[in-house]
Amino acid sequence: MKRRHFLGDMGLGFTGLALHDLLAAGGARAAARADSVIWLFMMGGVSHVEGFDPKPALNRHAGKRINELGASTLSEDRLTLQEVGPQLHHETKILPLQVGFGRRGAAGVEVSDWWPEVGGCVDDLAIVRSMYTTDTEHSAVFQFHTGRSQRDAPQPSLGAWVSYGLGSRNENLPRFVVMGTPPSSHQGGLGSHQALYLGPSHDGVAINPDPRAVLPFRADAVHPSPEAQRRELDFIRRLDQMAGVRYPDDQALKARIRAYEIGYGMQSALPDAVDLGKETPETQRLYGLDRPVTRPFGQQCLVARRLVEKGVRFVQLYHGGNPDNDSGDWDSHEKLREKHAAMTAQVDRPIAGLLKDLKRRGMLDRTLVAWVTEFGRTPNVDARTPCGPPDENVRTGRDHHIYGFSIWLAGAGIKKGVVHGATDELGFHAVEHRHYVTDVHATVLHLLGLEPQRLGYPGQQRLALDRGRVIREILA
Amino acid sequence: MVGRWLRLGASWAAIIVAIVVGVRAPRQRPELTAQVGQILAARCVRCHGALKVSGGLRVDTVEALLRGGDSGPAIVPGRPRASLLLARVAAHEMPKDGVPLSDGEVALLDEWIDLAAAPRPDGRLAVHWAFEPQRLPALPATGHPIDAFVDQQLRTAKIRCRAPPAERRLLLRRLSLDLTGLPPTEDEYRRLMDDAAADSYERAVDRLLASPRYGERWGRHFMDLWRYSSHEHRVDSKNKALHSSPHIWRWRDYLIRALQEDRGLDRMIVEMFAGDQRRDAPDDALAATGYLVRSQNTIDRDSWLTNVVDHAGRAFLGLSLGCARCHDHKFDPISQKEFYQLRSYFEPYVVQTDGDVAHAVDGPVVPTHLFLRGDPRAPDPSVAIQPQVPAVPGHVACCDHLPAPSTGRRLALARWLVSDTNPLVARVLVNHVWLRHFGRGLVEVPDEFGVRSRPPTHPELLDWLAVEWRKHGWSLKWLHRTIVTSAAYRRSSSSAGLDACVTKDPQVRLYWRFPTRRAEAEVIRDSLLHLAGALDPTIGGPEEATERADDSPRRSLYFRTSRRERVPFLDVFDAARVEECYRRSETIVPQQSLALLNSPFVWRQARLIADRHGGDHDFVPRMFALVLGREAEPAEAALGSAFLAQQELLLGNPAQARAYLVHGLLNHNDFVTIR
Repeated sequence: MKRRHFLGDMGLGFTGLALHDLLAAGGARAAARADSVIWLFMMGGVSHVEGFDPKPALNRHAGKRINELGASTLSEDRLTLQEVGPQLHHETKILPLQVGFGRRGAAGVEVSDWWPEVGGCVDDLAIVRSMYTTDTEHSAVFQFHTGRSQRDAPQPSLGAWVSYGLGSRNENLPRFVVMGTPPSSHQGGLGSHQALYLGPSHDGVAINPDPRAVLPFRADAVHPSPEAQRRELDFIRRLDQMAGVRYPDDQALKARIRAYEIGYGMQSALPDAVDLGKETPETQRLYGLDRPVTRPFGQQCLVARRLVEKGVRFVQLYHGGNPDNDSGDWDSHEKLREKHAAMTAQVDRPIAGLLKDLKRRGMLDRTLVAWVTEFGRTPNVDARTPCGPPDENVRTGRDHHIYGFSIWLAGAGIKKGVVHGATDELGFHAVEHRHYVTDVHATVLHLLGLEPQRLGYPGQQRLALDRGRVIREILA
Repeated sequence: MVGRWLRLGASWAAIIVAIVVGVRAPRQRPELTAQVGQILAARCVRCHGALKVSGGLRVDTVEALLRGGDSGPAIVPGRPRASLLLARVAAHEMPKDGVPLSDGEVALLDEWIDLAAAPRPDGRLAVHWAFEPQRLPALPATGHPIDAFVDQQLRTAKIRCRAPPAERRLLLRRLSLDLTGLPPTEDEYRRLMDDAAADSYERAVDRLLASPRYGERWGRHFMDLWRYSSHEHRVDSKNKALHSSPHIWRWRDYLIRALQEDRGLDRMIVEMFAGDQRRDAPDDALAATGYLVRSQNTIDRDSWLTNVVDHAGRAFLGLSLGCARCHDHKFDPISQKEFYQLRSYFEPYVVQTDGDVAHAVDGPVVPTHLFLRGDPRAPDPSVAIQPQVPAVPGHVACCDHLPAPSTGRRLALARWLVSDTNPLVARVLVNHVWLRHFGRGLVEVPDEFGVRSRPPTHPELLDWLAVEWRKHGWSLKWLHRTIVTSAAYRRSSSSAGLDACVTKDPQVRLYWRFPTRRAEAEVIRDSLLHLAGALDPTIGGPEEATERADDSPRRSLYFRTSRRERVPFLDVFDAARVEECYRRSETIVPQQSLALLNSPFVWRQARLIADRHGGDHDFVPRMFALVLGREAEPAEAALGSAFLAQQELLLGNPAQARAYLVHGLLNHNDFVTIR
């Protein structure tokens, strides 16, 4: 497809143009297993060894240093990498598990006691225990969403590719919706939901699910009648389309027209989507809306389900963002026990509620749920806390860990109750079926019927690493 | 030399480490060298660079590759098969992080060793471009210098088409929004349109630069860059911390005044860093140190000073020094020790309030310690920290006139920043100004000039501007005048009929047309008030409460702004975040549409505009010209008239129908766009 043919359509109602039709001609679309994605991103780095990849060896080796364990455990070469930057991993002692764990579900998968409710859903999950990434700082958030380190030329985020690649199922709502405190600049900023060269109409649209704040500017405050507003919108749309003849390559103009169309529809669709009073008390409890600690994230999860029900393609939830802590609240360099206990308490029930609710409504068959985080945490004590006299209060945290960590997927097209890949005895290196973050992208795109190897944009190149490869072993 | 750093276009990353330039071997390909540089920097330099030399090998210069490490030379010029570097990466033995180079990357290395290792005539190794001294490049052609450089790059890229000059009216709107943040009034349009003299445009430029609105417009830009924030009390765990100061607006007023007077950025930098330490300082130099007052955090001194050092680095040097707080910088030549040496310039300063001016002043000198791993609980007593600027490799002779360690530290630092030997500051600031005229910088990420940054699209132009700007006394008005009188700036933003250019340069990185951008939040709100004739021209003064923004006719930069206090209408259009804003976001989201469609504030301005012009017989075309800065096309005028008649019929109220027409135009994409 030549770019100008596509954009040359501007004056002629191009906004209804579904890109997937064009892509289909190029063969980028295959049979879709999923219609929508709910992407649950935990910011700060969740401990894999105290999550979905428990490591009892840490209790056995507690107090020893990693380089005292002998070559059988870790290759010397890889250890030397750790000397770069703050992560003097092997200089500090191994920290025992800060929580217990047990086998869950019919599959008997080990999950920590911090995840009792999600652990109860383990028969629906495909856990990937062998993720790795390359950015040791929190800008790994950006890396997880775009496939590239923040310092490389930026790439569109996964949700933006989905918005670009798929047609809309509901013209009254954005295809790509974002909730939660977005990443700070330390976490790579808003690039985690931006579209860059795909055009601003594919940026994730951030909404505040609070019904009082969801639409600060309401039509009935100013327009004498809906008809008057509708006519004005028609006037604006036609004017903007005329401008499209003057500015045929203007992506912003195209996005502006779409923003008015969606804005108009959102006036009624969005308040309805966030009106949780329409859910039964039982459903509200399922998501933890009855408890202050689970309510904020539960509300976002329930709104996510309602948005997907209405046809939104990609709902991205950021958990752990905090304007006063630009690393993300999951970050647990100190007091990991307290911090992870508090954080898991906020999300465990809402996430399990979401899975159960999707399942009983028959929506899990066509909805992909992804639980993700930017990296895991070290087996040993965070080296950033100073050496010196033992101080149990500060020496109970773990540092960032990029060489092996866990995520999970569930729902449309995903095997149920499986564990894929493995880390070594300490949870240090992913040693079996190692996966870079773009493998997750490839898997998501594939399930949506988009072929990651062929998805592209005129004039822009994605490199081999970006495209990733589908994790076929977890596909149903 | 720098001209050889060719643009990488849309390819994926940037030139990084020190690479040979100046090679003129017949088969040499600079872009290949750049690509190899970025592979080595991204994948190898971590373990084989300045900070860590595994196996005795460094790969950050060609010389080092030739010299090799414990196993011998890493490359043999012209003989890829005999080069250890290639053998190791091709066998996936390197890098050791488990992610092999792609076949394409290996092929590039192969080709480069085959072609590039020709003997170098001068034997010189260049440093990263941004650390090179600024030299005045020769102009490649006569005419406007900016156009000479821009045309050169367009020729190199074989882009022949150029957008024609913008329509005069639209150009005046662009210029007026750029320089004053407000659109022209009907009178101003008429003045330019009626002026047939050859220099009418240049005189319009001078008029706008002399307008008191100029200082407000550019003051707000520098408030972004230097992190203006209203004061707030923030509760961190148990304690209540004061951030910034209730008198911070004095600094805002200083910025407006100094820019209006065109005081020169070099003087402003000295006043902002050390206005309290200069004997010959002007009256308002104390208020200038509001730059330092802004970072005040009364319970966390470490975080306070870390912010000061980190953001001074990003705003003036384009280097993210904050990374070096806990450890040597991973990519840039900034050691952890150098971070604390920079910090020691600020160590003695505290905030003092006299009357209603809060300013910096030095208290007793306290020693600076290097904090192990950035932890203030772990000072390293073995390292003595004295004020010292970073020794950016090779070139900056900076450290011989350093201060006695008692007072005058900040003054010494500021003088180093604006000294002729500093390679970075003028480049970084010129780039920020360019970014705010063209919507993108010559260097893409304006706070990142480090070795991992992408090279400038127009390196020689950047240097020419930086050198000439310094020669012209760091005068911003000289810089604006130079930029806006170029043909590149005056081109139309329309690509109609220029398909060949769109195909070759879809992102308009080479300025074959004027790149449009969305107007900033303040421009949108202030323009509405201005067109309505309602804008309050009062300059400066105490901050306005955010709750008043819908009713107050003050310009937007006068409202409070902090982490928690934001004007909702400005927020939805990506107003600056106070933590940092080196470049505004330009989102286009449905919430913006609803703000313009449904906000009572916008409606009030629409009614005022319509009422001011209600009696005009040519109401529809006049409103197009006023609101959008251009004549309506016949089809547009017809559509407007039909809409007006239709709304009048529906509402039975001609005044309300006229307000709808104006309101519709205010919602036009061209109104919120700098065309």
